Amino acid sequence: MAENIAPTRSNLLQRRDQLKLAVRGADLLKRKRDALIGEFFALVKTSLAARRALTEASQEAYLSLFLANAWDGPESLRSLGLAEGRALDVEIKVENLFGVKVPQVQPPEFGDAELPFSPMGVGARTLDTAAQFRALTEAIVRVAATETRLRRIGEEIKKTSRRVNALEQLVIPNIGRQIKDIRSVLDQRALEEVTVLKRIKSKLESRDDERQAKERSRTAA
Amino acid sequence: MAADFGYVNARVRGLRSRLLPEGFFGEQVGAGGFAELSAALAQSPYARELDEARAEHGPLAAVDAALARNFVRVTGSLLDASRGAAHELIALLLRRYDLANLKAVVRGLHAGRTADETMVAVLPAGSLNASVLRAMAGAEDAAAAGQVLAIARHPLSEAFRKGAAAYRDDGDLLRFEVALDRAFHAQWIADAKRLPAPAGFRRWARAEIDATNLRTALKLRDRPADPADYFLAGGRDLTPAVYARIASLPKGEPLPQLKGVLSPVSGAADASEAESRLVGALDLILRRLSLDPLDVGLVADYLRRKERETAQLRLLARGKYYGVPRAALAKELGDA
Repeated sequence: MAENIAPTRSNLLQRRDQLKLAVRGADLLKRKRDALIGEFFALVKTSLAARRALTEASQEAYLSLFLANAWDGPESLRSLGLAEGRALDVEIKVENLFGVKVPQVQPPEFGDAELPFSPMGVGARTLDTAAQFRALTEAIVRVAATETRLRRIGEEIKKTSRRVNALEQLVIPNIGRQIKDIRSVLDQRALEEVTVLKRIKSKLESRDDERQAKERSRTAA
Repeated sequence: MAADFGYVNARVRGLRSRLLPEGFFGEQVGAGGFAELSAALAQSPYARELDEARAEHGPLAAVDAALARNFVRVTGSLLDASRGAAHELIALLLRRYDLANLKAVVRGLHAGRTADETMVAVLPAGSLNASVLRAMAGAEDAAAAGQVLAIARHPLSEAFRKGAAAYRDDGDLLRFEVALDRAFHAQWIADAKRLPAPAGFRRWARAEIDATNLRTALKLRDRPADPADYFLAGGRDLTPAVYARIASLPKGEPLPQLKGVLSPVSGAADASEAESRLVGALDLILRRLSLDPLDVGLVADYLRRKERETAQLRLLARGKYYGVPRAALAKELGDA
């Protein structure tokens, strides 16, 4: 026995309750893990699609930048870069998924059509490049959103698996052994009591027999 | 009285002979990598600028910097070599670089950038030199920058001053830029009329306004902006109604029938095809203008050739640096 537990009936009942609770907990955690795994694989598809979209957006944006730098000149692009000095707002909500708090990130809305500078004199390729990089930023945020969710769910699956394993491999067998030990001690005690009682009974019976034998001999005399 | 272009055009013919030969790009596309291109440029008229730039920049940035310095040096030499009306006409041709630089300064001031940060976005190829632009970029605000411009007696200084005053009240960068654009184009047409230039030059100046309007209309497609806010007066072949119609067309819709200098662009399927045809039409006018050896047309045509060569070299350098396939590079260079 790992710890010293008084082999009493109350402890036995307590351990039995604990065993029931542990088995039920392990079962619940296994169901949670299965649900998280289902969610994880569903999200993997979304994440792979977001990665593919990011790769495509990146290729298009950098090709566009390559051409705009060549045709419109790097100074022209740097000049427009000075005008585009706005911050990017990303909305993040926290969603509860089977008890796991996962972030839900909304990709930014650029209002693609807005022009922060005069379109006159700006190369068409430069404007295309600006639009492509907006699309690339959206793709980056989408990948960040799905991969953060994926990581959080993955971490939770690992944590839940560790808990299930701890319950199944350690806690439940441990309680089972404790119950067995207590029961064995209690059974032994019960057996000893029966034996004592039998001996007392046999002593009482032999005393009765002796007393009866004395009475019979006295009557006969 | 015609402007005296005799001396300037003799220099321009000399400069034109120093442009890279037609076969250079074809040879380089088929040749080795970036190192071979750098070696070829080191044997070209760009050698001096390339040597200077290599000491300050990485390989690709050095090519960009060398091309920019060479262009600024060439335009500076044209301004220095000319006097009187010829100087004014050349300054007029180069004034769009001043406009681009003024917009960069305004954007830098709007975004709170330092003078050093803004100066990497300017190309001082016009009559405003780097020291004036640096003083403007380092000014406290747009109004102070306008005072620097007024001291330089630049034709856009009044428009800049008015724009800066409005900007101080509303902080609207877009409106400021559009005001500068409008003033630039109005003066462009007025100066083209005022200065002693051939009628063909004035026709080309108006064709440039038409081309700018057409390009703006193409850029405004699928955007909520009101096209009328960006229409420039002074063109000849693109009416406000046709301009508005083009701006309202969805992307991918072919362009309607256009007239005059814009007629080659009729039916273009997309913006890049329209741009390619438009450049061809404008280049044709310049080539015709350049036939007169004693007028501004030769300078205008040379500047266009020089700009195209610079853009082609930037493209070639990037293509070689990033290992772009030869066929793709040759196709892009062919669109020049």
